[in-house]
Amino acid sequence: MWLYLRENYYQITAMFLFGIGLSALLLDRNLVKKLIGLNICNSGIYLFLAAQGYIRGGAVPIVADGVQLYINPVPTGLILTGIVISVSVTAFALALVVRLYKRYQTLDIDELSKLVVKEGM
Amino acid sequence: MVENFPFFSIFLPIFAAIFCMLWHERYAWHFTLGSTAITLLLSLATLNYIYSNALSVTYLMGHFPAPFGNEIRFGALEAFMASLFSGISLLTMWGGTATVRCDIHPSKLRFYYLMENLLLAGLLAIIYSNDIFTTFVFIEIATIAACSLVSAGENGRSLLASFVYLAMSLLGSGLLLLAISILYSITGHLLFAGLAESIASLVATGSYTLPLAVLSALTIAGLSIKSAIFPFHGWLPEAYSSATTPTSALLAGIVTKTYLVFLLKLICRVFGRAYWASMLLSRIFLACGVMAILYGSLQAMRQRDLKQTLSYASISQIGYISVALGVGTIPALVAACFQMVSHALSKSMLFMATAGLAEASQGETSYKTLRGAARRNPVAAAAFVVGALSLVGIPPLPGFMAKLYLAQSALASPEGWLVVPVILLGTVLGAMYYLPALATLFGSDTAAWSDRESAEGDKSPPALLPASLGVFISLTVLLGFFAPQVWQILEQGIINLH
Repeated sequence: MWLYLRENYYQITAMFLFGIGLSALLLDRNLVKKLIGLNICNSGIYLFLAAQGYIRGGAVPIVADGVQLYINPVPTGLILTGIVISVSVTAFALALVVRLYKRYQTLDIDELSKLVVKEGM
Repeated sequence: MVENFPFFSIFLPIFAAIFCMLWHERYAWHFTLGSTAITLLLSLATLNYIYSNALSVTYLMGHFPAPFGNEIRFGALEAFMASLFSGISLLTMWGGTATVRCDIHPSKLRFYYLMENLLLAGLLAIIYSNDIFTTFVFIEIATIAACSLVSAGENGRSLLASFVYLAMSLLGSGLLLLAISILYSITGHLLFAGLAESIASLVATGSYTLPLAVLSALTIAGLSIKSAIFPFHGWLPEAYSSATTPTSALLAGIVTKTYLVFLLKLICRVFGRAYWASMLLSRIFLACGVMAILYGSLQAMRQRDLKQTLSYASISQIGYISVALGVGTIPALVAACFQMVSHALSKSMLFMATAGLAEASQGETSYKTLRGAARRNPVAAAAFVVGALSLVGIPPLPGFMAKLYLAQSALASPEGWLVVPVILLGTVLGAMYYLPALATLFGSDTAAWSDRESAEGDKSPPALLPASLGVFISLTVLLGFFAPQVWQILEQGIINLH
């Protein structure tokens, strides 16, 4: 058990992060906190992905003399792409939040849905 | 030479999107229309070439071979879906221009068309790509484009709906990315061909059973959220009904379908049909489909707004697709594709017809204001009748053929006892919400309405919408009559997926 934890603690931490983010995304009523939750969620996934590519004792994947073992660069590349995606998505979501706040002066999703329904009547 | 067409049909909309932003917004629409038309022609040429030679082509991007390069792969299925989706995109854009101009601020029009181009590029790339991570990237592009199309109307409802849609979609893509990273760590591949090989050997040796089960569950959950399969449908009704109507037509017609096409490709090309059929997950997927058919229909009956009814009806129609995917035999998968095609055409036509009917009723879509709208816009009403009858399942329209094919394929499998009664029940329920809608449209006009109508009667509707509805009607009827031929194309496509 101890060995298992020590071998996989990156993955375990990643799943904790994912869980924290997911609960914030689904349970919190504040739109900005939801977005923060989403970003924590994504960070968890990126950590998980990075841990998959890490090889203990491996060097940075730049070819150099005398280095035998490199870490796997593919997951790192995927994470970079993923980070670009989550930055752009977060920017777009924040723009929506700003619009909603300007219109209704609130960030609470329940109140927002009530106000939207009232406006539609 | 034709091998290059799919690549061009992905990149043409991307370049068109850039040019939309650079020039005056008056040209954005023409430009988008032109590029989408060329995309459609390229896809049709590809389909013709692929189908007549019974080929499936793997296209190496930049001529880099397998482990380093990126690949596009296309057979009859991909080419057919690409032609269908770019065709529907063209028709909704062409016919919906008046509604879009009315709902969206003129200074934002070029961004609307930019996003429409990006959406098409994203969808085509998802269909054609042979690499799971590239597909993920284009899924994100399509998500951003779809959400911004929903929010383009800039009223409070569409902004909130777009936020909810975005949050749910991102959760879905998060789950998908997690699945991809587990998949990469146990197989070491990202291209479909390599993935299929390693998964087949993992299944054969019985190793990594738990990670495989977890990652397939994550994939299915992620894609279900994006395509609004039953327990994850929460974002759909508001997003569809608050968006401007041509956007709803686009979203309901093609966006949710694309994720299902991707799922179908994963089932056939990565997991393998035998492994998929042996999983508990496929049974759960089937059960979700059954629930979706019943829940969507029951909710659709309770709505007081035509667009809401159509949105809930979409949930139930997507249910048929997931039932067919859950059955999982080759005829069932072809039936799933046929249902996608028939629903894509009919539902986009219904939404476009709603746009026409609403135009004749002061832009409102509640049943109260739509009473008697058929007399005010007969062409839209005709399109609505054809679409509704098709989705209820009246022969010889394509909705009936789709249900027939699904029932036939289910009868040959052990799930027939469940699926066939559900299809029959779904047909009855479908009639129970489409027929009242038709009755409202053809009902007698109230006196107050006729007065208001005559007051603004001189404003004749633009001719584009009726023309595009005419094309929609003829395509739907033709699809009904040429169903066996379309079935052959799709079957060849599914068989070539291996």
